[in-house]
Amino acid sequence: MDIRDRALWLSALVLCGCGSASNEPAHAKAASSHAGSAVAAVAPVPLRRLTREEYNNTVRDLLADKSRPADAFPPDEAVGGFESNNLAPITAPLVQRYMDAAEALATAAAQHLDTLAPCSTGQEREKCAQHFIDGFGRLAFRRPLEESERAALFSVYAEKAKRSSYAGGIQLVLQVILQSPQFLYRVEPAVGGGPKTRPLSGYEMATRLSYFIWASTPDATLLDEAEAGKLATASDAERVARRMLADPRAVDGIRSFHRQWLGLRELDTVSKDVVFSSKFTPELKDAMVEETLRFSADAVLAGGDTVKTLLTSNKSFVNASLAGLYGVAPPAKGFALVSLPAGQRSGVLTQASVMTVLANADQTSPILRGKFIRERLLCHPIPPPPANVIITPPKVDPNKTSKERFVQHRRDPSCASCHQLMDPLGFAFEHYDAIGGYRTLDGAVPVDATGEISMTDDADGSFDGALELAKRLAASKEVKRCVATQWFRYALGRSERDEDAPSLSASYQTFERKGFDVRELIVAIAATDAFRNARVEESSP
Amino acid sequence: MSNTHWGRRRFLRGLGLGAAGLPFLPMFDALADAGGPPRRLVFFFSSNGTIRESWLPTVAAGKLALSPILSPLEKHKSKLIVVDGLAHNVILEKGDRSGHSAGMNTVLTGRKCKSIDPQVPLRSLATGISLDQHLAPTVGADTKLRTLEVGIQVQPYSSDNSALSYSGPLAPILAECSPYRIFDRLFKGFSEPNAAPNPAADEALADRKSVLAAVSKNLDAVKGRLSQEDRIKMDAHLGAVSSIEHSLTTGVGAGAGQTCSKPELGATLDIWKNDNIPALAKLQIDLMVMALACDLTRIGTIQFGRAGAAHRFNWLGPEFAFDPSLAVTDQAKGFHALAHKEADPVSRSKLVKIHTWYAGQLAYFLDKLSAIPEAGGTMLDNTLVVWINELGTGGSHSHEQTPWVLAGNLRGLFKTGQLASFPGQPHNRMLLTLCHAMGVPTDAFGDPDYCKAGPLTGLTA
Repeated sequence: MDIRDRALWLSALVLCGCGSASNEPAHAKAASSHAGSAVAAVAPVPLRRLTREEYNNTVRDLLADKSRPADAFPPDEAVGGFESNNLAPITAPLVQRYMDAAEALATAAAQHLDTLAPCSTGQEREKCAQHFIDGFGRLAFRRPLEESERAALFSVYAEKAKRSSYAGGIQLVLQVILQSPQFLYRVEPAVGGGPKTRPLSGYEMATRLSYFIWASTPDATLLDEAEAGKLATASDAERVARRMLADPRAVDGIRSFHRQWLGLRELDTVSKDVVFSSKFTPELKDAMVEETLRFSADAVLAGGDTVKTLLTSNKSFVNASLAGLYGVAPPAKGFALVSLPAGQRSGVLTQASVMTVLANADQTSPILRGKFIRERLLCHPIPPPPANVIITPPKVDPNKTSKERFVQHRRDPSCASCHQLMDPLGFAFEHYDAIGGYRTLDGAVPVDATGEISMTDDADGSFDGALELAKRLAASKEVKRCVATQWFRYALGRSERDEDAPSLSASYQTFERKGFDVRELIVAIAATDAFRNARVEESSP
Repeated sequence: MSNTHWGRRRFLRGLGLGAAGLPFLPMFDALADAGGPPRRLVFFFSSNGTIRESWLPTVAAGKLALSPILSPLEKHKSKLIVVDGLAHNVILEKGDRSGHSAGMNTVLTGRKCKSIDPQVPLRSLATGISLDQHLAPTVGADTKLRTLEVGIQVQPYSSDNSALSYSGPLAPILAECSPYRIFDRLFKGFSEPNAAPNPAADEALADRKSVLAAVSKNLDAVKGRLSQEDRIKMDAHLGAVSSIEHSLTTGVGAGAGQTCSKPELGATLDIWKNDNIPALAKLQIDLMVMALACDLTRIGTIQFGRAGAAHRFNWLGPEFAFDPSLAVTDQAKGFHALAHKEADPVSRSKLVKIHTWYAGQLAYFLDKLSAIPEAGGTMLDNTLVVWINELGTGGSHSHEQTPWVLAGNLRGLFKTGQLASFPGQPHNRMLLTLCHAMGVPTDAFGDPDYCKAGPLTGLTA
């Protein structure tokens, strides 16, 4: 459902299940169950198909092709809040688009065969083709080809080369590779002597690491390390993860995480009504996303307490379109890191992108904003409203603040049980209008941004405005545990399960010990049992 | 999913055997059918329930008197069966979810849905194959596309509330919302009979066949290494590849008539711009008509939006446009938001206008079908169009009294021009009726617990 619908849906009366005992998150259970160093059973990671972003990055790295063909694919499926395409099977229209993309990529690649599949005049064509199949096939399938795969690809080449040319044959091989499951899916065999937990092979580990940290395919160096058995242990994983974080491609991975965690994809479909539509230009929308992604990557790569930086920084990356919104001087060109007006901004939560997504078309939404804090920063799932609910959202009145209007949610006990978890939190952001501009008036009356946070381990209390709330959140261990959980979900492309408790706990403990530096969290997740092992379900195919 | 590609002879044989034990036979005599025009089934979907008192027709002196919502169908009144009272009992009694997506998941599958993402408790998928896909291996065996799903702005995407069709449990099939892609699927490489040979096209086809054959081999090999759950994904992928292979090599079908020709699409439209919906609807319906007329498919779905569609019907009048003098919550501009305010008389009258507009779109489709002569009648006489919805009423997410309208016929099989009432009966019985009518008889479709009473009675002659 779109944002507007969701706002109505969430403002539904009668929510159930929030008043009773809170959901105990997996990391809470972890505290007691984390012990010893033997590999416990890990939960399966379902077969993942490359996301659009991963596909684009992968063909960029394999073929030096920057055409972003996956932008034409249907949207990815998110599970646990992160895109992973691990659930719904593929359908014919997408397979058709894989075919179209493969044909276009192969045609483009034919323009630079001299680097991709070189074959000088003296050389035997068959040998060149076989060399290309082995080398490119290893990169694209993220492991060396098996004999049957080599033979099949070679026969595709030979048959076509006979009818046309060397280049024609290579193009067809490329098409097969780019449409094959070994390329499109992240295959981790799950048969043979199960059920049991098995360590990932070096190549599987290289693949998990590279899509986790780079949002792209492993390069030759990483595959060479896999081949040399240098990805076998937890300390191998740590060493390689550190090296990968120092590579420029790590920015892609960090941006991808934050784009999904902060729900920025929603900006693609957000629309604003007349009050804001003249200001809410496509340029501004793009700038909002770019600001938050640059800011997030900068915060992570700067080191230190990343969570604190993300939630409380008064600085951000601003370009000319954003400068007006934030009330700062536009930079000479592009984006520049600037200090925002004092007392107005506090990290990602008050950035225009997040505030715009979490608002209605022409007014704020304390509900969406409160729900976001609960779900994304505290990892508290909010149960859906019961079926057959009749929605009667509070009326807008220029002489009343949002807080006064939403009082119904607190008066009616059937609403209050869940809305007390969201609305009082969301009031913190009343200074930010539907596109994230700072305001002091709510209609004709002064903004009331006072509220309170409750039902947390260590962040409870009252506040006035987002800066005070953000300070509470940034100091909360529960928030930091949740950040660790979100990264864990991103790494595995699925929600955490009971079996993950030791891994979650171990990665959080490292995160805490290292002063909440997200780079250290990434390294720690890469070294967990959950990340380094696979589940074998079947005894035979 | 089932990849079974029944040969025609096997199909006919199976039909004879399957039919023998059944007490109730609202279906074709398949052998007598062999030389006739094809039977076709098209689902027409709109969302957010209906406004029943403005939808339910009356019967006076044995004749249908159409309601305000159905009034655009007046011309086709004698070819309608309005079916009142069916309920998604499987959701009401066994579903672990309710609401829009549950209805979407069950309307063509007749099964309960399964919740799939603990972080998003409302998300669920259907636990079985949908009727159109179930019929595809037999009814669609010989056509270029076994089924064709066209959509009009089915967005934003989420497989739980966007798909009517399922190739199997948890395997949704999404409608294609681009008429341009539909056009390519239907008419790329389309050649008129007796066209001059085209060596370049032949070579491109040979290339594609060779690539897809190699890809299929790889899918097969990878499948054997995966867990049971993940093998479903390889099966679905294999099925998709094989349907593309089939469509590459199959042209106009045996049942194509004189009207079959490659349509013109006109200037390119933004397929996600809300106000283009009427123009896109016309394009998609025209393409569906031509797909049927050229016998490129025999099973179709025309889907307006996802479950709980939030489109804004600006073209229906100024009252649907944004009014700055009103507070935001009084605007109720989107369809879904309006549906939740159905108790409010102003919203209600807007909803009636919206549902009436959908009836007009259905009427346009029926006009086109009835303009194409076929076997002494028109294509509409051999095409059953079934208007479905994911809910009974939108505001309360009701799964009772869901609005069904059957239009057209299958060579006189149905007793049209009537209002049929089945209060509280499971909609599985309707799905079962359609199985029989399309010549694929079965004892149960979807959850068998809701099929015990057999197909609906009184609909067929």
